[in-house]
Amino acid sequence: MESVPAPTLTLPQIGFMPSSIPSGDFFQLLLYVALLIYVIFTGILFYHWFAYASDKKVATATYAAYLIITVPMILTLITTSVIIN
Amino acid sequence: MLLESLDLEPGEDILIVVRKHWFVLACELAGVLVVALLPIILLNIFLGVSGAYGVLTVDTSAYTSEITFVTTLWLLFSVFSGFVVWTHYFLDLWIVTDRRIISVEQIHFFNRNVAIFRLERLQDIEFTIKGLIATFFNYGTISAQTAGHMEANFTSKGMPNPDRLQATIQKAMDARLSELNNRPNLSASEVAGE
Repeated sequence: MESVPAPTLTLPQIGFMPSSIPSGDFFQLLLYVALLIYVIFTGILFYHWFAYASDKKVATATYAAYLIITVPMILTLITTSVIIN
Repeated sequence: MLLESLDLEPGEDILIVVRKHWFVLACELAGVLVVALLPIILLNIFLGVSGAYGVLTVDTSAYTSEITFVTTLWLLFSVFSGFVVWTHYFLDLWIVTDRRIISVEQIHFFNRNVAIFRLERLQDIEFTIKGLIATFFNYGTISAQTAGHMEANFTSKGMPNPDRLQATIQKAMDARLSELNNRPNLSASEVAGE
């Protein structure tokens, strides 16, 4: 019996990405929303630690860890968004 | 900072500051980690299984940037969750002084409950350690009841060494009561440290 090759599907075909809007615009929109959420979340987080933390050293370590982890992620998002466009 | 804004009474000393047990934090962070990695693991399983059994082949090579973008975005939101867990853990605490118990409960961002109970009004303090893991790591629920017009209860789960905390509070309460009994002419404002 002759084997039938498996069909090759693209990501929009499996519902990973919407196919109705250009992918560049879609990811740019996602980036802006993500940046907005990031700024708001960062403000809230820093405010809580500034106002309510009982230990200055732990608060400073938390600010540093947060920025060290998230800033490269934001840069990755911006870079990949530029590449997609 | 919290301790600066607490406005301790003159001569009031902090005896102990207690946060939830580290195991409670570890469990919550492990949950965040699983959620963070789940889509990546599922995608790899899906691609691996579908490719291995020849059901279908999904061409992802042309979408490396898109996949990187979505994965990074997912991880970023997972990191947010991790920091929310850490913030709630650290800002949620009990401060036991030689005159009061200050219970700070950080329920969510912008949902914070601070309760202050004077030791002389404390009626009963009890703890429960329930379950194998809690017994092994020695953490449990501690609850206290105060006397007043409206009886107030406050309870905290996942507190480390609840037996030691109970003993510390009991000792501080006895010391406070004996101090007040030795100075019976104190006015209400003096009792309150004003």
